[in-house]
Amino acid sequence: MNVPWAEIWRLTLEHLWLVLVSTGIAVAIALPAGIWISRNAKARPWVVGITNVVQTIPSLAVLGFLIPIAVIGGVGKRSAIVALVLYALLPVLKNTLAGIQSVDAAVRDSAVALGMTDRQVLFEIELPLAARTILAGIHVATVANIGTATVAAAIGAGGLGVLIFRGISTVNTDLILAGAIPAALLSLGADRILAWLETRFWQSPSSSRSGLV
Amino acid sequence: MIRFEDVHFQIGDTRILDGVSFEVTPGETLVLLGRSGSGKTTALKMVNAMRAPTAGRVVVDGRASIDWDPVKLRRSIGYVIQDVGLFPHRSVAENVGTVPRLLGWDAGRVRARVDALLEEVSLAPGEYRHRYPESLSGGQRQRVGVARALAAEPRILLFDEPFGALDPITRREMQDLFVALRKKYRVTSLFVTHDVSEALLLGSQIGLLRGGRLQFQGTAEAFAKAEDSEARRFMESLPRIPGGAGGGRPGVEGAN
Repeated sequence: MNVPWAEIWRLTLEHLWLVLVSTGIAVAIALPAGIWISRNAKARPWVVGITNVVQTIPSLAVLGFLIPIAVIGGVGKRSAIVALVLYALLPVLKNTLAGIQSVDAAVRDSAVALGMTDRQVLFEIELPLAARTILAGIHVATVANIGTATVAAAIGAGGLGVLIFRGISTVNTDLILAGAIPAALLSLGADRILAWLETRFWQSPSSSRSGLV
Repeated sequence: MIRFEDVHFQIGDTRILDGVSFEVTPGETLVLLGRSGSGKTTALKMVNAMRAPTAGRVVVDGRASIDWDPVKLRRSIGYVIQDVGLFPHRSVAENVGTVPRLLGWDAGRVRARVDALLEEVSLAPGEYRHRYPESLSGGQRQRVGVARALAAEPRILLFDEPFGALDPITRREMQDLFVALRKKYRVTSLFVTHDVSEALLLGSQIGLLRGGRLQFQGTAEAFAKAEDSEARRFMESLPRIPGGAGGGRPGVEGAN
């Protein structure tokens, strides 16, 4: 069989682009939102609840819902990115909240008592201590999105799903593999890079110890 | 100078502090003694505006604590707590240098100050400045905590049961360190504890809190002789060594 290398390469880049843009937008929304709900107990259940509900809707259905909607929807990349953003919100939001909440109360208390401003407490204490947990959320969101992004081809957004859908409709296993294998490799690569990045940040001694057990 | 003027603090219907008045004169150490829930930590946190009175006022250097810019006020007040609260992602030197850095001291001055303070709390700078809190013992962590509180030459020091989690020998070492540092610096201090022997050892004045009210204020000698029933119960809680050689007060009738 002659492998369509050029097309695989083009679709891989397109796939990667969909994932990077959507995850980037999701982080830009969920990170500040997570910080906000860490300080606002009243908003917390609402924001987490809504994000949870979004997560439960099947991806194919979300794409279908988006097609008739103006501005954010329609056929093509825009809808796909909106859907992928929605899916990436929850892990980033939840981990940002969990990371900030896991900061020892005595540590936060002394930061305030030493005369740090709210901003200094956030950027010098809370975010550095929560960084590893937040990054783990971005990790989950990215790897999941690489898989989910294959479905985006169903509404004409491109990416490696194009090969998979074409393989399905022509009952061509090779073509399905031509889409699935690069997608799997992207996942593995993203997994490795993000796992390495996480090790660059501070980790609480208790969790590193339990990790060894 | 710290002055409490008829300070109340209430959460819902619960009165945490109920009309507390006292004064800590410059250079003096007032120990606030009381059981758990007597309101002593709340009182302490009012001095650096971590809590605001619901009525009355806490005057710090001539101005109500809530009228100060809280950030500026806190940078001039050292704060030591039982859980120490060292920043786990920062080295000993960075922890100790926190307030000087926030105040914008240049790096050389911060470094010199940090080394001098580590010497002061008996931690060799060469060995400890690059260590991280997780590699220190409980006593060493609290030494770093004390050095961090002293770093920017505070006008006032606040201690919230700072030695309560330490073993008795380490606790005694820290109390001796506290006495030595107080002699040297004469910083106005408010020290919260539920340990009456610590109060007798460290306080130039003892204030006794019970149920949000100040039951007694006076010297350690006066406290030991005080008629107040809560003061008596605290004195009776002191350990008595069998054979009568102890530092307790034998012969007082048992408390219930």
